[in-house]
Amino acid sequence: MSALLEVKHLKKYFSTHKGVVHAVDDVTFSLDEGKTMGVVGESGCGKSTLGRTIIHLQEPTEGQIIFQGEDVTHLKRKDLDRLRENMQIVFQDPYSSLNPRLSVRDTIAEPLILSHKFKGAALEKEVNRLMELVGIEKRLHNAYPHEMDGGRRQRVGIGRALALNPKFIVCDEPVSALDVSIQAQVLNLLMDLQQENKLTYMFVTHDLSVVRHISDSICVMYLGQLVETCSTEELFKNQLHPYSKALLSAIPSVDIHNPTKRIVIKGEIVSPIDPKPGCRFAARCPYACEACKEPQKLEMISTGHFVSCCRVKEINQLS
Amino acid sequence: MSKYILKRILLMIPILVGVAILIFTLMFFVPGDPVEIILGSSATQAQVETVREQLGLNQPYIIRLGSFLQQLFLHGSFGNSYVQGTDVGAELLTRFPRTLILALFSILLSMVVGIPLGIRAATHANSAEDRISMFVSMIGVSMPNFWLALMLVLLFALKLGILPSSGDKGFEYYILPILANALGGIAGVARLTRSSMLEVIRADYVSTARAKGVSEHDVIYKHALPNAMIPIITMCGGRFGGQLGGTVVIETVFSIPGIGAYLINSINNRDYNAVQGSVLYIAFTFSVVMLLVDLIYAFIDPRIKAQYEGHSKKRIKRGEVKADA
Repeated sequence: MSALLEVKHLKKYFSTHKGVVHAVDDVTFSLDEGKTMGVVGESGCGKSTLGRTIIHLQEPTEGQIIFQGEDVTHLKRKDLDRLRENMQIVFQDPYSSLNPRLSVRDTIAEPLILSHKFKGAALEKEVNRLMELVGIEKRLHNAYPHEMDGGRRQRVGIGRALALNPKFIVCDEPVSALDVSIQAQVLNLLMDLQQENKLTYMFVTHDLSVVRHISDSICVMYLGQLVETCSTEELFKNQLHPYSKALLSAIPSVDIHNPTKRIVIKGEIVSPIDPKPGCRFAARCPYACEACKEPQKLEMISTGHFVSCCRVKEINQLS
Repeated sequence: MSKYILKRILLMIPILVGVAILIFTLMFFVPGDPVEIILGSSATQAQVETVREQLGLNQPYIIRLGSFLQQLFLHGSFGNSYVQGTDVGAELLTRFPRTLILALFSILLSMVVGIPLGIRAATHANSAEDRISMFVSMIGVSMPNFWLALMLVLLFALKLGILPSSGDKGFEYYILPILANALGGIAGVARLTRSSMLEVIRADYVSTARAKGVSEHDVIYKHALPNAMIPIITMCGGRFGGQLGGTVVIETVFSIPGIGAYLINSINNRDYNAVQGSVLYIAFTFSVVMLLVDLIYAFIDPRIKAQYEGHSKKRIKRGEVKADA
């Protein structure tokens, strides 16, 4: 199966008056159709920026985005509309991602109207179908966002993302603003929709249990850089990068006889503004050495398992 | 909704009664005697006493207050001006159109120019264009309008000679006063629009609109602007309401016989009836404008509309909405 989405050496820099923020720095991965890729990392590591850049809410600074075999990195307005039909995003905060002045019907209908594919009765029918698909009651047709709870709002957000039948959806922490019982509902809804519509997800989150539940593969990011990527199973069993080890050790264990040994990383996060070349985790890494100051390359350790660390073999005693 | 409007109109009655009592009491305690001003300094004590008697000014506070309120609410009259002897209500009515023209066009000009400027600055935030326009508007906001008015007269009336410097004999007489009045408003509206728009533009639902493929023009004008309008409407409503009560300085500089000039004259002359009448008129127009502003909110923002409709039966009967919010 060929990859639906390929991202090559993608960079997104923001210039501020303090310097250039390297929000996403040289990220490369590919994602197959119908699969879910989780993107994890701590707050501010560039997960959301990566997602927003891929769906063209921001212009990439450098690199390539290849979607369905076509280079879509720099698109003109008209082609962008076509791309938007296939790429959508579900935002983190359902309280701020819906226009407070639009009713549920208007929010879901807008992309349909803009596509010129639906009119009149067909439009209303499609809106009703989408509402049913994401499980919003019919009576909420004319409701405004402030009249609904977080779970329903997020369903509206998902409904409007699905409106044009996209192939690829960036889920930017779609459940982190919801309480736990509703998180499960929304996650299951997303997974059901994926099966029915063969959707491909890029799932940005910092919740490791969510990502384990939903993803086929995972990218671990640290300060804009991709440090490790492999299948979900592999990552939870056999994580190789020192940062991934520390991150995964933070998941609490429910087994009292076998508590996880928490690896506590010391030191401060280095600033993402004009960072030095080399591994950004080096400042806090217990294994750091001189070689870590050189730029790191993403290296294939086993099939589908890439790590960006010059000492990965040494640390993990691999041959 | 209509129930809400009715409630607001009824609420205006206690406000006006309160204002009437308050302004009467204040004027009672203000030092100075209108009779001495009417008769001049050469009048004898006996003459002064006679006129005081005629005007009823030697009565105690309670009786004067009672007859004032009676005259106001039973006969709907503000009484006659002590100085001119004319009916205060009629005087206010003839002056009202001038003040209305000044206030209405100033506020329209402020919005028509200020809002697009603010949008432009917000969509090009931190560009040179934005910085310059915000610096200029800072000057505009902080420039006193009497000084600006004099500068405009100097330039357009004295140097260029294309516009009259004072009076009110036609619309061209209003151009300079409106400009002098509106420039500060334009600057204020532009700054407020910019900051309000910047806040809204960063919201996720604006990104959502972009992700939907909404054109940039519609993102700004259909998704962002209506959500940024509330503070702008509040500010312009307040300005408009205030200016309907007369723009004292502008009216004085340009010799326009509007409400503001009348009020100032009346205060100087201790013309009790005229002051009370003008203040009540100002309270009334301000309340009406604020009611209109609140109604405009309802059209802009469904959340506020829902509050107004709050407990109306129609909504519950239809059985729509009211999810567990």
